[in-house]
Amino acid sequence: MAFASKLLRDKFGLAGVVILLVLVFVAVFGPMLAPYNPEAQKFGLLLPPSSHHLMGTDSLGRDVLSRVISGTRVSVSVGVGVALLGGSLGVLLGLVAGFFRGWVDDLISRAVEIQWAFPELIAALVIVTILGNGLVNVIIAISFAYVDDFARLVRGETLRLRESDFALAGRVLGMPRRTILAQEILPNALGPIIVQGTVAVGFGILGEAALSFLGLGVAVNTPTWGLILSDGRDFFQTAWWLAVFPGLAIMITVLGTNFFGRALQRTLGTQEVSVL
Amino acid sequence: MLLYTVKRVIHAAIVVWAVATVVFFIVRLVPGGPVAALLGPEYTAKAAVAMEHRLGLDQGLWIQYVKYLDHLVHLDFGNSAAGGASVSTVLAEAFPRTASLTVVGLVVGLLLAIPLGVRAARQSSRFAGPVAGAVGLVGLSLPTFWLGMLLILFVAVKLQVLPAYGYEPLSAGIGPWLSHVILPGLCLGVWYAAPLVLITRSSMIETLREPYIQTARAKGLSDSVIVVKHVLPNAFIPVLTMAGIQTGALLSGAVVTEILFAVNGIGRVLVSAIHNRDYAVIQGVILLISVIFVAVNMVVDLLYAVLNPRIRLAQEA
Repeated sequence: MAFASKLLRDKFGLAGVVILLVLVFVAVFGPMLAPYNPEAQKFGLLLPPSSHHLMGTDSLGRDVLSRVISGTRVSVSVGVGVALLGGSLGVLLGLVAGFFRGWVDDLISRAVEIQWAFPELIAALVIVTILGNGLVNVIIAISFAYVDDFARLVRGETLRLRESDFALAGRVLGMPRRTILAQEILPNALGPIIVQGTVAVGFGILGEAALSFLGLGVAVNTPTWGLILSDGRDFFQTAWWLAVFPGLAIMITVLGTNFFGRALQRTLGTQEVSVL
Repeated sequence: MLLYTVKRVIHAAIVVWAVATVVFFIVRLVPGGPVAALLGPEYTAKAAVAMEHRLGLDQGLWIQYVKYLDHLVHLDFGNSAAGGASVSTVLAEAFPRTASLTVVGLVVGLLLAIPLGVRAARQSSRFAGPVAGAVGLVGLSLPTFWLGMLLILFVAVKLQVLPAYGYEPLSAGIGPWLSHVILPGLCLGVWYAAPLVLITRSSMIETLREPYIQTARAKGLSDSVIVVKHVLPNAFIPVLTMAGIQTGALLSGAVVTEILFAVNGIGRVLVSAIHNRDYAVIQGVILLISVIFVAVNMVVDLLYAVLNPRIRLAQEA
């Protein structure tokens, strides 16, 4: 409780929590909130924002607000999926490398380094091409780029924690290494992992937007924020609302995850995540 | 220093070889393959066999791999399956455009991030701190291409001062070139500056707290001497790391940005090669970007050693 109130007293923390709560609400209740069917092509083409269409209509006569609301669920799923998948893989690799050291560490560190040499978006492009479109494939493709962030972070934490008194005590008591890793080291490294995970949700959403913009996103007929922007590409110079609103949705969401991550980092007193 | 440089170059070469290998095998996992994509409606079993032979795809995978490495060593990336031009020619034509955007982005980003970050670290500045925080957090939260769309809307459509699309080579004159690269460059630059400004600020603040800075103050050195001689060389090590790491992201960002601004750079080449399943071109583009990235980070590592002799000595020992 003390932790929560400390987090909420930070103005970034409060803003982050509010943004993320609204987002989860929209993602869950989206279909009930949307004023129209997001796929219905029954309105005038490229109508500017008005009281009937708060965000205007697109080139096929669809209501942009309804599409942005319906896109929330997919965009957020991609972000969370990237944090979970990239996070689990990276955490596992980092734990193993940091705990066993020696050749295992060398092997993992070299592999991570090679992965790192692939430009993130380009790797995602090629992976989607291999696997095909679809929510899960897009998540896999984007996650690939963020495994190294988690692996480096957790490796460092593990190297530090394995020499701590409680890990040594576990070894003296004859605990199996798996138990020491899972019950002593991992819980103590959780703070920075959660901060990194929060930031990764935002990066995942940005990655999806970029892939969709290049036409390699979740699917051609599932509206995501990136796809709505991409659909508006040929028309936004005369219809500014096609560019402004979906982009704002992305920016506010990612700001929310970054605010939250930053506040979390300060509250937990961890300094490991470099960017914020 | 020489020993350290040699070690670092060998290390970089190994990473490049590993990347080349991974790229070779990964690209062959792409379903469909170039034969079907290239023949399209003219696909017949006979034509497919002939095409496979022409592209050398009927040989064993290992033979293809060894040939591929041998060609790479001779800087021969093979021929594009579509059109038959050599990949080197395709890249040589497209790369200067992408490089223009990247370099302009780099310059804009550094000019924005470093002075702002350095100012923000000084307690005397009241505005630089919040501005740096805002540029950092907002810059990290925008899709680059969206920033590009907003710039097009405002600068090209509303103010009509710069063209929204296209590219003019530097040989056409500096004016036309700059007018086409400034918007995409600005869009990349803000994005590049975001993490850099945050890291510059925090690294400067940390260094200013060091005891040797207090000693320098106690000696009566002026503020500017302290900053230039003592703070900057130490504070810049993390900034340099971030600047190097972000170069890869900058190149990736250039890919999306150039598609928005209709610049025919390597990003467009890559996306159309992916659609055509043009193995050789996909390989060439990824290798080119990775090599630049590895090389930039190698230079950054070498610069560290220049900035901080302790790193150099530890590595040589």
